[in-house]
Amino acid sequence: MKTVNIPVYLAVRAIQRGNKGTFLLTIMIVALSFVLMVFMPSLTAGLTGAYNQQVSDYQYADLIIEPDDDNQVLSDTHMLVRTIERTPGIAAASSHMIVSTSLESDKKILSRGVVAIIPSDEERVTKTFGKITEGRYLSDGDTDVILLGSVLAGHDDEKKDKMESLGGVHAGDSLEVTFQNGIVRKMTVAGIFETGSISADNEAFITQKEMESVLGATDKSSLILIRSSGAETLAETKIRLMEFGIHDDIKTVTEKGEGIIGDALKSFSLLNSIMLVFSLVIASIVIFIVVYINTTHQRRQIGILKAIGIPERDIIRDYLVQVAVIYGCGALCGVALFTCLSEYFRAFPLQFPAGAVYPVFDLTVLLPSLMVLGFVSLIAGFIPAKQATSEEILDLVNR
Amino acid sequence: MIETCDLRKTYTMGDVSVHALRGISVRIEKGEFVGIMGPSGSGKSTFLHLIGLLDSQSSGKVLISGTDVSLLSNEKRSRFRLETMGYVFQDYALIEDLTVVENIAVPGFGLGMDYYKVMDRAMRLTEEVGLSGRAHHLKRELSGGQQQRVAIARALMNEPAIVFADEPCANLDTASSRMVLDLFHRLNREHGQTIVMVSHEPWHEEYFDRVIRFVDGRIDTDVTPDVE
Repeated sequence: MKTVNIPVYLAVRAIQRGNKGTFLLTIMIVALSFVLMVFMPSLTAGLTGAYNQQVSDYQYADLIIEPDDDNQVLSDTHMLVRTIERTPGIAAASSHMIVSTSLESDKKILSRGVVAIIPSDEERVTKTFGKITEGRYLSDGDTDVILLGSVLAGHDDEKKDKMESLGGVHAGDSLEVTFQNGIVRKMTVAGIFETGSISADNEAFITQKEMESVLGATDKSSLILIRSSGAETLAETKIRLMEFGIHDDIKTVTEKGEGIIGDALKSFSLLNSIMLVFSLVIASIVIFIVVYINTTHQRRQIGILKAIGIPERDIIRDYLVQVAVIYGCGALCGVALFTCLSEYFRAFPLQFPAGAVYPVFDLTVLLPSLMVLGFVSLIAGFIPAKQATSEEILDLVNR
Repeated sequence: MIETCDLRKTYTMGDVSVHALRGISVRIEKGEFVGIMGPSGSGKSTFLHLIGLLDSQSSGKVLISGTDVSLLSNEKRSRFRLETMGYVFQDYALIEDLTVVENIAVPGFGLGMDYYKVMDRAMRLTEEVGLSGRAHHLKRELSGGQQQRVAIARALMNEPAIVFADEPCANLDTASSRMVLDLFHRLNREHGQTIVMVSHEPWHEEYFDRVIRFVDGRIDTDVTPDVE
């Protein structure tokens, strides 16, 4: 026996033979509300992702080991790096020793922490070596040379500088570097790198060999960068490092990044919430108005259905099915529209200090938005339908 | 079949109470074609609405097939209307988005009957009211008389014990009115269908087995017309 579901039957006929213009307009409003809801969070996710990728590629790799609260530096760095590299899930590690210096070019003097690295280790951990725009990267045996980020090197025209710079230094130029112990070295700029990250491009590197020649062999470091093999999550790798006896402060790149752009993300999160509320209010008001107008125009019909003996709940469900169809079509159009926008911005990304950014198609953003919009739509449809069906039959029929 | 005991209905409009029905006690038997007549404001439509469960009385009882319908919950009243009663309204009251045959089928779907049986019966009723050629037309494509015939067919869909008709010919010309009344008459004679119809046209009396005339919320006369 094939029975007919009255709400579905009436809703389908109403959609098939009702006002197509209103139906399509409502779908478009739901679709646009959905895009409004997800665009900003997706852009924030894209921005966060781009930032984390940039930080991972050019500053902190996947994991960072820093001295715990009781120490200024990490000791026994050589052994520590070898222990880390022997840990399963680790591809490479590179130690950084930050040395306070004063850098003097022909035009400017700046106080800066210069990072001492073993270039061959660093190449396996970060991608800075691939971003040389002038000159060359460092070699392990280099002395009296320095590698500068493009922001720190600066432009000949000061107006183009994003931060305080050395005033337009190029590969082959000389810098006078004064170390914290008073030793002064004349160094040649080996190369300039440009990663796109302002903070990365504001750094300067020298070799550990250079540092030891100035400060003596210390076997100490300020931090160690670690590149994982990618076989497991960073959280798992972090736990594994702890199991292998690393008791210093271990952070994933995301944890490190949160500390740096946490405030910015909180501001974006606030903006996202405001956009979300506005979108939901707009969508729910529009659906409410559409169903309210429908039920007002169809009060007699509702009365007739009640008079015939169709239960109130089935009449309400008729309108809810119509809302569900509007929502479903709106959501599909919204996802399609968002996908188009996402693809457009992927092709022509927005330029942020964190690099090229585009909205990310993230299900953890899309699914909750779809569910919330669906719920709000049903409530907005239910209220006017319930109001209309609750009236007396004769009041409805005699209108 | 239908029995009312001291049925009263009072409407309150601001500070004024209007006594639409002032204690109606009447019995309508199965298979009767009853005309409810009287001047405007006499209470005839109010009486029809109360015995048709479209409204609730202020006091008194309505018994249908022995059931005191005033004791039924809203849910059960809906079901009772669906199973036992058919309605024909003055202005046809068809659903705009449904075709002729779909309008007729709605009460059958509401009852949870098999789709094919409902559609088969709806088609037969469409033929019976002479609209088989218009079965798939929408309301807006029909004349007033055709719409009223669709409404009658819809009222008969669930083979109800009683059909209530509230001035079904009020918006029709004489020819269309006669067509509708002939249809009611045939249904009453061929199927023994109980019909309670409100009318204010004196010439309709010739179709009724019995005429209950209302004046000022009371039954003035209750007679069987002399039909030649």
